[in-house]
Amino acid sequence: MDIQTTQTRSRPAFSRVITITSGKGGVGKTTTTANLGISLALLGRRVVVMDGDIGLRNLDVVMGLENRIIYDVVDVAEGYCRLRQALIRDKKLSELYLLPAAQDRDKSALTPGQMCEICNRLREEFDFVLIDSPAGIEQGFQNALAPADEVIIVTTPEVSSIRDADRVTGLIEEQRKGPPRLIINRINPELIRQGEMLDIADVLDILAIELLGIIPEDEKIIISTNRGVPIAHHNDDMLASRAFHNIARRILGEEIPFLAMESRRDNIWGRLAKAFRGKGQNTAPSGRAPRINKP
Amino acid sequence: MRLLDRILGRRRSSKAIAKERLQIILAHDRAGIPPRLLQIVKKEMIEAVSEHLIIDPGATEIALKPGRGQSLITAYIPVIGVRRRRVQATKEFKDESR
Repeated sequence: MDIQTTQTRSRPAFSRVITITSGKGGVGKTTTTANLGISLALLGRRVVVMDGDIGLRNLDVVMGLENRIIYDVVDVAEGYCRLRQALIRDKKLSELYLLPAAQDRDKSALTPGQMCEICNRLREEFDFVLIDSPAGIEQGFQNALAPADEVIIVTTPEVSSIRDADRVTGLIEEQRKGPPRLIINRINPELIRQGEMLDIADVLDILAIELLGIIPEDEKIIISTNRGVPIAHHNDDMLASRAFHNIARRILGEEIPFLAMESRRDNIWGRLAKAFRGKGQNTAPSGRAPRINKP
Repeated sequence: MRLLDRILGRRRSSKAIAKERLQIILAHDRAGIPPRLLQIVKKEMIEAVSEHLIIDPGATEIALKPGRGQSLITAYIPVIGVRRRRVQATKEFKDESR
């Protein structure tokens, strides 16, 4: 493990543990975690991405590091190896590491206390610890939430995933880990134009949490995942790649405008037709809306 | 908006349907009120109003909506008239209190 160089470095002044969660499965948590890890590392930060999905690990596959796993997070917790032995360095970025989950164990193999303890050790060497939470709201989710300083919720513009995002928002606030910030994934500008998909304003209106980023639906994300080289490794001329880079810069506190996602058919006739139908789109309010309190 | 769509013979967009469904689902989720409980509340509200007033049950709409700060029960109950025996009872009540 080539982490020796890190020992000579000074400890980060302020490291952040960010948990990426969603409630519903299949909305893009793992892809988002991998791409944000890469984007933050490209911006010169030292990053570890941690797979919180014990028994169903996938972050290693998305990052193309599945063949390099020797030890995992449960081995670390149980003292079978040292933390640095379980960390896998990214193929391209020397400042990015993966801490894989165990595949042959279940969620009860770790406790929230052990998660916090491991994260506290990672804080000493990394600027960012990104935790890829498992789907659901059971122990795996609770484990991923326990060490979090901040929480990012990933949703798609669909009824089921927005509902689950709202439920998870409530649980995060109950644990005083909030307010979470929102990434809306798989936005299809053409469907929005046709009035067949909830737009960004609709989702924010319903969930009433701060928007951190928007990611277009893009087949290039699938292709890059097939290759095990996440899209954020590409430069900004790919819209989805730029979307992740923008989110990383917002995480670092920069004010970056949200991507304008226009459908290919958004020409003058399309706009006229839209105006005629009286449908608004491409509205992306960015302010922090007050959340509706639970009674 | 729904009425306008109907007049103009437009198909409602799936986006509008999705948003409306979500608002109802989240009102229930956030308030922790299962749909069955709301059914009971609706039934008893209609019964209580019907005690005194003649209403149009077909046009009555009682729904749970996400409001500011808390969930909101909204009732749209068209009143057709006053129940005769209730008018009588009100008179008796006034006579007694005199």
